[in-house]
Amino acid sequence: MSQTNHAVLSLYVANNFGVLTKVAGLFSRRGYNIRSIAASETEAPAFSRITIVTSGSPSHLEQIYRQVLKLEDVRRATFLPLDDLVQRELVLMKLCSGNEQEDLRALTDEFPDIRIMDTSADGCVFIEYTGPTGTVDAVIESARPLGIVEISRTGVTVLEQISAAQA
Amino acid sequence: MQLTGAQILIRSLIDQGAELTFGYPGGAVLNIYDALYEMRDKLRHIVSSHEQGAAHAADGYARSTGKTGVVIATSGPGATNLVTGIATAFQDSVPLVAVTGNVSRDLLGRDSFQEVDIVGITNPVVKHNYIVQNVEDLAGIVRDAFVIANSGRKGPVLIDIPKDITAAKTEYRKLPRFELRPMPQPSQEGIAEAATAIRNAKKPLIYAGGGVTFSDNSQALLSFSEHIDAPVCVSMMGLSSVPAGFSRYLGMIGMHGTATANIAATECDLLIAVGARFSDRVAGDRKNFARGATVIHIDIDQAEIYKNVRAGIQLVGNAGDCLSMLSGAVPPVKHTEWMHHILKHKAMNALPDSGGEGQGPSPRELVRGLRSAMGEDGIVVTDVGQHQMITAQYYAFAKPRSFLSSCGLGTMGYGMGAAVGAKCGNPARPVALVTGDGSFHMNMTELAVAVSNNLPIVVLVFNNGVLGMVYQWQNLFYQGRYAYTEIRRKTDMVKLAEAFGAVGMRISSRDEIRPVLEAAFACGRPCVVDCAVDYKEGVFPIIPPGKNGEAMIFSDDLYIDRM
Repeated sequence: MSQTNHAVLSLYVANNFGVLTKVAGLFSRRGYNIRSIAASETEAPAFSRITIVTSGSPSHLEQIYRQVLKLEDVRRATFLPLDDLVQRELVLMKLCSGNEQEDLRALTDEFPDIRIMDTSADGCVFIEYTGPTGTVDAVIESARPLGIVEISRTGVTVLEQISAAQA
Repeated sequence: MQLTGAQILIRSLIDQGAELTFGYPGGAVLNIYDALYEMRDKLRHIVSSHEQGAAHAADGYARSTGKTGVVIATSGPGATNLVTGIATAFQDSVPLVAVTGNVSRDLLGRDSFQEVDIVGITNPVVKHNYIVQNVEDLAGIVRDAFVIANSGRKGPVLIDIPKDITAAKTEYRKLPRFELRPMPQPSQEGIAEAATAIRNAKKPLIYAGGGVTFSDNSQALLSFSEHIDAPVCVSMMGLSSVPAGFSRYLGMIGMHGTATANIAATECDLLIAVGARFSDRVAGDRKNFARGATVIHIDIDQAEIYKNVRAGIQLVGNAGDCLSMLSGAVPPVKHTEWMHHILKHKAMNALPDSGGEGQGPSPRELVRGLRSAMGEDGIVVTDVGQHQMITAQYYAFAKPRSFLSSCGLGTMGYGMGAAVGAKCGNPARPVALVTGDGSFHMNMTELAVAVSNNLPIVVLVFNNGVLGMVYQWQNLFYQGRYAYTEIRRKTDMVKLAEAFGAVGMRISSRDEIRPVLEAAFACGRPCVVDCAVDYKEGVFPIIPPGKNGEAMIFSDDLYIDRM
């Protein structure tokens, strides 16, 4: 079979009614994969940025690119070069092992950027971490033995080192 | 001038060039209909029997005239009834503007009476859709809808208008008639690469689709075919873009295409696809389709180029522009040996001429008879099934836009509404619907519209008592297990026609074909002709699904009686 690549697609879209549905609907009806999707307003109030992590063979990705450009509300679509990205994702985790303080020391030694948040009423601890997807995966793996009860990830948000708007 | 949203809508439709609209009234569009009534001298409106019929009528009007079809329906069921018509237009790239009413904004999202999220429902089958949030935006949205429906690859656009917006007032300013967006231009490198491929080719084949017919580039296609001395075949959407008598014409390619067109695709060393999309009905086995050939793919929609078949050379642009640029880049060439080989094959493999064995009229003879009764100027509409394929195979089309059929979506029930639209747009030309007893039963109620509006359409019902195409597949691929396809309705088509206020006629033998068809066109009224067709008549050749030309089946010698 042909090779499968991860790819980050950044869409600059008009902030119209239902635009996220239109983009997500295109992916689902054509059988394209969405590994994560993040949408938010941008520097211009009339526009949003939708960042989708998808995967597929090069020709598959080419077809995705050509199909999203057919959507009226999509003003710009860019497959971002993976080695030239400012890429961040945020994860929240709830840990309930009973002896958090001891265990957490090892985790914070390994990942100094972890933030430990308030302890909840039932004695559990919340952890926040922001970083590239690969590091988020590593943090989760290291935290797993500490008894993860819940995880919530935001999905990736990215900017190019040299933004398309400047280029 | 302060006007209501409804008045602005109707004036904007007129400003954008609409002369005729189709639709059906209802609660959420009361204001719109009131405004339509106010402007009835400037914008005609045809009321259908069912919203689906109105959508197909707008589609038939658009396909046959090249103008934008406009359809209006109320909220809820009115809107959902349009969906099949919109999807039909989407699959075949027909410019359509659909206007739906919706409940007032303060009732939206509350499951109000006749509320439906038609924007959400139609997302996959429109080029774009809108829900109007401010009356001030309305005129601009209507203009944009016409721009989008007609620019690039054409298609349907839906505008959903909450009822309170149709009542709200704002200043009306007439916007200029819409202009098309600039067409994409093929790259110079692409043209050069294609020119080299054409120069090097020994056995080129042109495969043309709806992009040629509906961009009005038939003439450019014929000139190109002569310039590079290559045979031409068409997809079903490309039918009527090449006149049947054209010397290099091989007929339709694909599942029910001619043997020569399909063999040419397997033998060619260069395939030039123009405004065609390699659908599964053409490239059954898309990985091996035309596998010996370099493929040049010309299309205005760049997403088509890599979708089904991966073309070596892509030209994104208008068919006419690309073809004339190519003609300019290649000197006239000759492929004498190849043309001789292909045209000899064509002469030896003409579609079977004779009818079936029985006394009754054969579908082929009926289609040929229809062609002589209508002449070169006729417009033929079909429904979906065996009658459709027989018409596609046997009708000798002379002029572009004279064949209207639901090719992509395969919508049974398309025909009666589409014929109404075609006749409204072409009152001076003969219009016929070829349908089957299955398809006709779906939307025959649109016959009432033809009667009320004095539209003399001739309807040929190929009445064989079975759902013929499915029946044929059950014969070929399901060992004769005819599951639920032997419908054998008791409907008396002649009485039915008369009950609708139309004329009813019958053709039960071959001798009657000519006189009855002449009488049908002469009567000057909508006329239903019940044609008693043998249920054992199959459509051949046929390529089984998922296969290419090599697997073609030529006859039903192996007809299996009911198990």
